[in-house]
Amino acid sequence: MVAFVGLLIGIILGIVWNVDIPVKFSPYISVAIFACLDSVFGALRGSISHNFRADIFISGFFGNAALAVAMVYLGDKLGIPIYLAAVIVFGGRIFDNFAIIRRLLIDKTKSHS
Amino acid sequence: MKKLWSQISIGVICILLGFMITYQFKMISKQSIVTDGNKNSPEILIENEQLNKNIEELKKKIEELDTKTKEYENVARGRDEQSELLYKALEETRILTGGTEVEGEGLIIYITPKSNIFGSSSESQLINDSDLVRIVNELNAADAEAISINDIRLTTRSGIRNAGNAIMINDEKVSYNKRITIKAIGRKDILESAISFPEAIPSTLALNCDVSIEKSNKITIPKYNKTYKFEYAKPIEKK
Repeated sequence: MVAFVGLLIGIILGIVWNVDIPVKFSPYISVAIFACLDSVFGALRGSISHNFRADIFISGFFGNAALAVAMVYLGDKLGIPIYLAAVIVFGGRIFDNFAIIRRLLIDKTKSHS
Repeated sequence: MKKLWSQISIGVICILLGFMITYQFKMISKQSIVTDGNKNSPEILIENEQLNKNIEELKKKIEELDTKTKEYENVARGRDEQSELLYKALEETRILTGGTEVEGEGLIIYITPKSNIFGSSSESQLINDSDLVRIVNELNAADAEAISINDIRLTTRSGIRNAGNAIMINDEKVSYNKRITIKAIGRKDILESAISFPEAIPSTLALNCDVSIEKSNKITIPKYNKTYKFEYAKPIEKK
């Protein structure tokens, strides 16, 4: 519930607030979004399986984003697309987490009925 | 207490995530608008049309002025023998510099790019500037008196070179994926034998294009449309 309200506020903030981030940071933000999405899915899974821990979630959120941005920067400097590694790992993990969430939810509905 | 704390942290992070996602969406849609705008800006199309109209008008003006000078010349040349001689010399230099339309027997070379079955012909460059230079050189060596490529008259100061996705000749663009016609006035037999000599037409060009030669008794080659300017070369006066 809190998460949805937060998301909504964030989206409205993004539409209304015209903050100027330089265009060259655009790829960094893209990868950071992916990293954050991954931790959010992780948190969702945690909360459904009742082992959610706020500290792990927060550290994962910022840590993943920072690491992904660092990877993009390094890849940019070295001339190899390291960010692909981040995208693949995060993408894979998002799907993994989603699969587990799915299983948990289906099991839950089955046990209720 | 711990529960509240974690709820707040989740809320804050979701705010951040939502903000980042919408911001990125906005940025990317902005970027795509910018690139779309560059592609088919109506202003450029209008300007292009206007410039084309200008060209037509200027061409008409050139023609008018040309007929006027012709009249003056005709009047002047009839005056006496001296002016007649002067007129002849003028005509000769004009032919030499490509200042008049000329006609006579000669050779026409058609270079037609072979269409690629795989459909990538529009991407690759089938006709090279060096191929054209070589053919023109060959024609010049065979005493061609006037040469044009796609009705662009070649003069002593014409350059043929690749520029972007076209071949530039006298500041005019010639597409290297469409048929190129080279006309040359001269003795047609000599021209033909020069061109049919092995390697006169580069083998790479013969591989990529159909090259056909046609002898003709009457070829017209248009005049060079620009004016010569000599900024650095000055004639030396002999005492």
